[in-house]
Amino acid sequence: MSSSPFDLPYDLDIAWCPGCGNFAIIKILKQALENAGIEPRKLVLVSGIGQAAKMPQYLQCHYFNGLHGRSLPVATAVKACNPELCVIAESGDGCTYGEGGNHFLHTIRRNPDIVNLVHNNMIYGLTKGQGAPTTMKGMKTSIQLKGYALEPFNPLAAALAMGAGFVARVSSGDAAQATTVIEQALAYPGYALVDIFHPCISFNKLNTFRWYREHTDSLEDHDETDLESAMTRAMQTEPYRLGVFYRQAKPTFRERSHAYDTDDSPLCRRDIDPAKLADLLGNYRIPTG
Amino acid sequence: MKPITFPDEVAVLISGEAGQGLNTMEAFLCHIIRRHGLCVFASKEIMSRIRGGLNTTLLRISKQPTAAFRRTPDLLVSMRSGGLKRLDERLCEKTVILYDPRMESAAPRGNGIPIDMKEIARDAGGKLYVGISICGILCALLGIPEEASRHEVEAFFKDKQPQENLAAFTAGYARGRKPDLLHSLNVALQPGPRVAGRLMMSGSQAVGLGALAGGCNFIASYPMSPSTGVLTFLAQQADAFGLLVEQAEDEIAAINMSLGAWYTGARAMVTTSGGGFALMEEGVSLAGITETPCVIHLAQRPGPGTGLPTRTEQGDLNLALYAGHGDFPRIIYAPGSVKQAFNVTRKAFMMADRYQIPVFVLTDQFLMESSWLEDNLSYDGKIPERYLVESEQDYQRYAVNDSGISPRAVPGSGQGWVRVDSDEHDERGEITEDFNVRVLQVDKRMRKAEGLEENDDDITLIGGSDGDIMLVTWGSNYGLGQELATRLINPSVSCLHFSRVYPVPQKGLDILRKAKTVIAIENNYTGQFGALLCAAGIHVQDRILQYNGLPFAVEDVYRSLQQKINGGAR
Ligand SMILES: Cc1ncc(C[n+]2csc(CCOP(=O)(O)OP(=O)(O)O)c2C)c(N)n1
Ligand SMILES: [Mg+2]
Repeated sequence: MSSSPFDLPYDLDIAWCPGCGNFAIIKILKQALENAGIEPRKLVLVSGIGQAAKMPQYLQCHYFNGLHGRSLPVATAVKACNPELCVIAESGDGCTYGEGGNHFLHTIRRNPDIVNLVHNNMIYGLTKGQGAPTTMKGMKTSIQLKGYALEPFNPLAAALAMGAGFVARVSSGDAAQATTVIEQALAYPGYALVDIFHPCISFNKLNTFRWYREHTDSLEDHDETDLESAMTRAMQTEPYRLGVFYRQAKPTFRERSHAYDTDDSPLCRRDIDPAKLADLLGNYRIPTG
Repeated sequence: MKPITFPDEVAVLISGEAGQGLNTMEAFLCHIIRRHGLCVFASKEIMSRIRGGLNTTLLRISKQPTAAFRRTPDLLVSMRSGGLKRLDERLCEKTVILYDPRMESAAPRGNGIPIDMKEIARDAGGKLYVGISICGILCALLGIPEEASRHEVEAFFKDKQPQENLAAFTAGYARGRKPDLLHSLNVALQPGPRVAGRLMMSGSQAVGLGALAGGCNFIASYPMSPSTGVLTFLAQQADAFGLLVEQAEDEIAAINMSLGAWYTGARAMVTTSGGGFALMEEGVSLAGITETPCVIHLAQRPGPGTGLPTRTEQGDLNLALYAGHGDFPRIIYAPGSVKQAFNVTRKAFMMADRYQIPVFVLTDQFLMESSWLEDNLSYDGKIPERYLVESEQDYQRYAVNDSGISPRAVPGSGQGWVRVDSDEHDERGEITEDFNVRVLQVDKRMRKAEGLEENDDDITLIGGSDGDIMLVTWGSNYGLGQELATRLINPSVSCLHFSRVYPVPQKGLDILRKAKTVIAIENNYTGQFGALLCAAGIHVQDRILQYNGLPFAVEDVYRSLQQKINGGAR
């Protein structure tokens, strides 16, 4: 196996099932990071909880392995406080679109310069196979005994509707395309969503490696700057399209927050100016005479 | 009629409906009366609506500073039709009442003085200016010279219809000089130099200023009364102090953002109230296991549920105390004055950073929204100390050591890896399910609780420690306890106030252990702090509790204490 600067220098006890799609994704991620020239010491992976969310444990990088559903607010703040860092929020479909659904919508509106990698296996893996927001209708699970009945959540269409500037879907089965797209997401200045189709071999018997191969196809004749076309393709199911659906520059959270309007120094290294505060306190003094 | 005199204090209650400019009146009167040389303590009591209803603001105008609520005013100004009936239980025979007969169905009991509210500001511009006319009447009654007060009006309203306001004020002032008012009231308060140079501010401002002094450079929160004032204050200071202020989509996002900020070395705070804080609980627990510092300003209002959104209570001590699953150390401060609010908020940042734990600043509507006077805040102008290290190659975020405080590094500086984990983790910060490592890490985290530094100003003793009766207060009842202990001139009654309620300061417990009778005064139903004292082995003989949504009225507590004292003596 070729070595990567993101390999950990010791043996790992990996918590993924043998044959899990996550093994493909970690290889893809390491390659994309290397291609994009990211320095490991400048990389922070922020994750929630789930099988996908264990990714940071297996990479040489800084990480914040937070709560189920809460990767995005943490990632947003990390990037806002230290823009010198490369920040990736990475978690499962349940974590990002279910428990963290509200953050998903509002992080898009905020547009922090982060990459959001969502391992979409259309199931809750770690908790052993309950329906996820992206689970297909009719699929039987341990809870949805008569078949999952809710409309599936369409992350790409939702992201486009919320005004995301970089919206993509890849499949762990197509490493070459996935690597290129993630590389582009890393280069995009703003919130970049990459939904990653991949199988859960233990709990999703419907959406297998083979199913993904047979039901997906790359985007063709598509203009990445055409929102309407992107939306149409995001709504399409058979086949599910793969690639970059939409790419458009937008003001990032850094600009929108105004915290860097007059001062370039990272927020995390800023100190209070005591003289200024003493002046401000003076405004509350009742004047003499 | 013989004029009613007020040698030491006059408590003025102004009542009106939302939209009548009560806030402006309060701000202006506080300003002008203090400039005149008298102390004012102002607290408001408002309904949860934007227009209409009945709101009041109470101004205690006095020679010596006061810092507690009074239920019964000396003087009531009623600006809203039907207001008298609704305020009846706050009045006594002695209360002088300025009212408009056309707005009331019956004349007030006691000393009513009719004022034609419609007429008074008519020439100045109509009913929008009634409030400032009333201010004119009050200034005349207080003996603030007309010329000087006109200057204050011009300065105060220079960007807000200065001519109309001045005309309305002048008309009111003239009304205040009419014999019916002048001869029935004698507010003989002599102004003095004791007010000039002091600070006037609200609790919200004090917490905000304390956050700045503590080095706060990031605040993410979701609006909720009565905590929003702090967010508003910091938003106003954002440009000058280079901080990032973000309105989060919910409280869950807010606290998670704050943890992300601290992870990079920034200093973050969240401000919220009970219901919003309930949503943050899991985040508090996350701060506990990841050992990420965290400062939470929790401004209480009466619960449960939405409760009384604009009123006050001290009912969330247990919430702050027990929030978050699992065991981990925390500190809860509960300031009782603007000086304490400034100092403990500042200290909260230091303690959170130093011990890598969640630190609470527990306040309430009464503290947040009242206008307080303070000699000074004793700001030393020091840049807050940072408790960060540069990581070495073999850095371990959760290194086990004697103090339990593993040196904290941040990503992007140093040679090591900063791995932070909400799963149980080993010293490197990687997930583990090893039972021994689990025990080592729990013990390490809990060791931090043993070393938490206590400070002298965590408690304040008013009076001696060897008296018969020790009143215990915490949080915003500081001024109440102070006034009670001084008024019950009885040397055997003293008061112990806690501005840190958890861990309960040892020094405070030592004093209480020696006290003969401990009476806990709290604004909640169950006596939450008293229960904490009991758990520490203190015998709390008696409790004075109130949970109607209002702050304690000093005269009510005074009366009930006198009964207890006399009853006890038998
Ligand atoms: C607040 C909270 N609720 C529930 C859980 C339990 N839980 C852990 S992971 C998970 C779902 C994981 O699904 P997904 O995010 O799709 O990740 P996957 O394991 O499929 O990669 C759940 C429900 C939790 N840890 N925290
Ligand atoms: Mg999943």
